[in-house]
Amino acid sequence: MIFNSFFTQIVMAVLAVGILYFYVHPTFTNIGVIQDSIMQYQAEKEKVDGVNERLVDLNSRMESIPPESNQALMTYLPEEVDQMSVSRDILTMTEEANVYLESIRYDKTTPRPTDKDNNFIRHNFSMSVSGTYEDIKLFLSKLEQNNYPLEVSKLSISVGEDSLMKADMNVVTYSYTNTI
Amino acid sequence: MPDSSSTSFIPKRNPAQNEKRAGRRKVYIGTFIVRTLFFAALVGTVSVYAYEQKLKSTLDREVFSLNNSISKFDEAKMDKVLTFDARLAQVNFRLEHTASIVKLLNAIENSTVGSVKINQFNLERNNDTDFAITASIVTDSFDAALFQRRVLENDDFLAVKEISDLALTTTPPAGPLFSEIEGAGTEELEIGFKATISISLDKVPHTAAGTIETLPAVEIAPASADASGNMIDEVLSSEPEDVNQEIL
Repeated sequence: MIFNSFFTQIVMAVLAVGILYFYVHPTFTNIGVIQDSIMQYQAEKEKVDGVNERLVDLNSRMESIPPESNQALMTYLPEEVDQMSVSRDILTMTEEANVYLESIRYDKTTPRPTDKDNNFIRHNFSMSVSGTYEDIKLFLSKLEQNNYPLEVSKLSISVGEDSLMKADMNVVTYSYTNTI
Repeated sequence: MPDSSSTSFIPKRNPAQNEKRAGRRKVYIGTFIVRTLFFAALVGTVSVYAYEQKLKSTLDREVFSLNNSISKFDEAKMDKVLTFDARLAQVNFRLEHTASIVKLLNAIENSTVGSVKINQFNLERNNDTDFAITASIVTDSFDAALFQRRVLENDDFLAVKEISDLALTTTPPAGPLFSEIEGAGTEELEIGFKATISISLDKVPHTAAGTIETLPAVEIAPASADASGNMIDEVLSSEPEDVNQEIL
């Protein structure tokens, strides 16, 4: 029989080794790669699904915030600061506190080192007020109670005319800048 | 006559030899291995091919599934949420670093002894960490100055960094910044020094409750001296008291 011939057996052996080496082995390697890919895709899909679920959850929470709270947030950190409105608010506070607003000026502000990590822009207002010490304190407390931040970054109190005190101060407010 | 069987051209059979050939089937181990290997390779090839196809199909399904999940992602919604979150974080940051100047002034008042005048008060906020305060303090005796220094240095609330620019001057009483000292004759003894103080923002946080607490104190005495007796304008306008007598 032809199958029993030595030559045939050599050919069969060579074929078997060839098949194992040139097809089965690379295919096994490829199977490993495909299995890894499948696991990676499954993991990524889980992540994406997780993000989608989280997004839906956060969005629903965001939409459940009352409009007035949302408005308060926007007022506290607006996207733009209207220097005229801020100046008017400060003038109103000085009137309520019975201090005299001598001057107010909007200064362009240089960012502080800590600002680079933050998404806000500082807006600086320089002003001078005069009045009694108590009235100046009342004015400062009104600044603190404002519905958007008016932080005193510099304050110099000295005695002015007629035993009134003069306070020169820098007040900072912030606007939000979207860098996302 | 020779035997006809030995002269025949037909080869003779050896009966013993025939029996031996019929009963012997040789199994070669090499042939067995080669055939096994060959068929195993064929079966393996088919199996591996089928498994690979199955995995490829699974991978295709996973890719499709991932793409499907990605397509469900709403980028606009994400931007909206991220922006809102960032704004909230910034507001939170600002709220955490809000400080009350009124509280700070109250703290300064509480650590200012009665016979001391503050001529000049400067405050500067250092980023979001602390306030640097420089106060030019004037008093009428070394005892009062020493006592004021001790009060400032022992104050847990204020961190006195430096007391400097000590100066003794004798000036005639004039202007609202100065007060007459009883028994000093026509001249006024003035001992001035500068106190550099630091207050951490954490120590004067602005709270709604804190502001409400401070408001009555602000409204009670717009100009007149009250029991605290150490507010700056009051100190500036009132007659200096003998601190040593009060304290000792």
